[in-house]
Amino acid sequence: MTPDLMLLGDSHTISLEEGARSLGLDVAALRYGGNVWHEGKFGWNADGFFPKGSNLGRRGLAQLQDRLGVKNVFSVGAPVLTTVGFHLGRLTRPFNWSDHVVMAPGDPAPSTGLLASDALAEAYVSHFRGAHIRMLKRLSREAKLIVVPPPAISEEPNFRQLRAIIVRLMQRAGLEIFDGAQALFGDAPLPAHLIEPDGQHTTPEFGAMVISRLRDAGRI
Amino acid sequence: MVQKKSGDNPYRHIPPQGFWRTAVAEPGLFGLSDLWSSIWTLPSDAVFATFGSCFAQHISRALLARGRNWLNAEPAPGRTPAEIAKTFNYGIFSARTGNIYTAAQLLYWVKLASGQMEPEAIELWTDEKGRVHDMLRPKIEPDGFVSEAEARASLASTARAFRRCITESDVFVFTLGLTEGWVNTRTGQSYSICPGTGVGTFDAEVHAFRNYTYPEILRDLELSLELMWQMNPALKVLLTVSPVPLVATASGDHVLVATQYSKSVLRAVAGDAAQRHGAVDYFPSYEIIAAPPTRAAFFEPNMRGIAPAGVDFVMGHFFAGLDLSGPAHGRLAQSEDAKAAESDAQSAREDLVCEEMILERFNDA
Repeated sequence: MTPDLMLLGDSHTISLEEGARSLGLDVAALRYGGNVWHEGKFGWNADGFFPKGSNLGRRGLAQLQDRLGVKNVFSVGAPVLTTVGFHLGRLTRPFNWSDHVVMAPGDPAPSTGLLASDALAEAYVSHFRGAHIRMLKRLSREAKLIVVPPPAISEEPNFRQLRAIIVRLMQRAGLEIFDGAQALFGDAPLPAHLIEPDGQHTTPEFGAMVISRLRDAGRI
Repeated sequence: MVQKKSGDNPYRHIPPQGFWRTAVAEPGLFGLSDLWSSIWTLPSDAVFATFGSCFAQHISRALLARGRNWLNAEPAPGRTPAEIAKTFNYGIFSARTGNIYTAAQLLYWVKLASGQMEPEAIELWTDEKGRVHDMLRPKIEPDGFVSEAEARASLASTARAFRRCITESDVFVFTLGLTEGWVNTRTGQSYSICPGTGVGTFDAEVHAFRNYTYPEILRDLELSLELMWQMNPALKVLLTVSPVPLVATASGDHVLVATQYSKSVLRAVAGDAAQRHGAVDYFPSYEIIAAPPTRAAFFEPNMRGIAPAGVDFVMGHFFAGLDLSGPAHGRLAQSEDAKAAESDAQSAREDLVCEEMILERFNDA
């Protein structure tokens, strides 16, 4: 049976999955850790998307293929929400080694540290996330694909700026984006009760709010 | 009456290296030795900063290749691919100043680093795409900055890094490149390239050619040294002159004649500065490449570019004359490897949390 919604991504898809289930949707998820994504352990073959170098990953895909009765799991017609392409801790951590700062428009000039230009940051992000964006672009030709960027709840330096650059690159590639936190709360910080105690992930309540908003807008 | 032999004279006490026959003609090019001997005994882990014209980048590369302590005060962000770092001019000099061709431009950077000059004093130019370039280092960003605010912030950032090169280095290596330059007659801004040659718009009313004279260059160099020693009284300065000929001259002279004039003036300034100050030394990279014994063998066929063998030859003499026999002071920057290990460990911990969350999804209990 075709699910109502499919999810592809990392641990940030969990709140979306639980939120969707709480709304009564039938959800199928394909989820791998940030290290799989960051290190580019994914590919594309005649059957569509597949994870590389991970037995667990291949088993997860095989189970989903069995459940859906197809080889290309994203060809069944269900809309796909994805968090792929962010995994920002893996980007910001080395980026911040030497105290680099990327200025957002309107930001005051940093009085300490090293300025990294927007152009440099974009080149950096493109290098590490280009393959992800190409994969999503390909996937978007097979399924109704919406990228749902994980909210910028980390206080880590440059987190918001690099996240914004990823979103910009995805938009430039023609991908459909739905920034749930922005749509729901604008530029205000995400309310604390919607953030898990680990400080990195959102709660199922937030996931349900995002899914509801998408559904109400007729996007899924 | 006893006939006296020819009397003693100072030349009898000059070592063989003081005579052309024994120092140059007989040993030949590859037998040259003792061309330079550092006047300082430096700590074995001495920290070097390198700036100047394009030839200066060979010194930084050679220091790194030999595992010496080269200060990179403005590195690219961690794990930036080498090609991207190069495109954005990281890792070429100790801070992202781009080429500093003249003593006048060195003085600008020293004033920015000392706080005597603010980044707002530097002229910006906006191209037809709306990208902003600073005229002190017009090609530092391949496509310019996104805004004036970003351009100014970047200048300030590089000025801070340049200051660190003055305050944290043992030896500040500076390669003098040109006497010729362009200035803005209204603001006094010194340009690293003529406006209109790639970046900027040439305005004959405002932009004027300057072939800096010996007194002007010595003055700007002395002012720079004075400010640098205010920031770090222990700083040693090693001057060199780039052997790379001028690509073009606006002096009206033949470019070969203009080149010899330019290099001669710079060589004289560097030599005089070294004689005036115990904390200034001169390394003869210019002579090693351009003097007669090489028969121009180290120049590329265009007689301008320096062949890699020439660079190696120069750096061989540099390291042969360097005295790093002093006790280490232990001022070593945290290595990239250590930062990478720390970062990877943190990422692994974060990934573990995420993996556990994913695996927990399979727990039906």
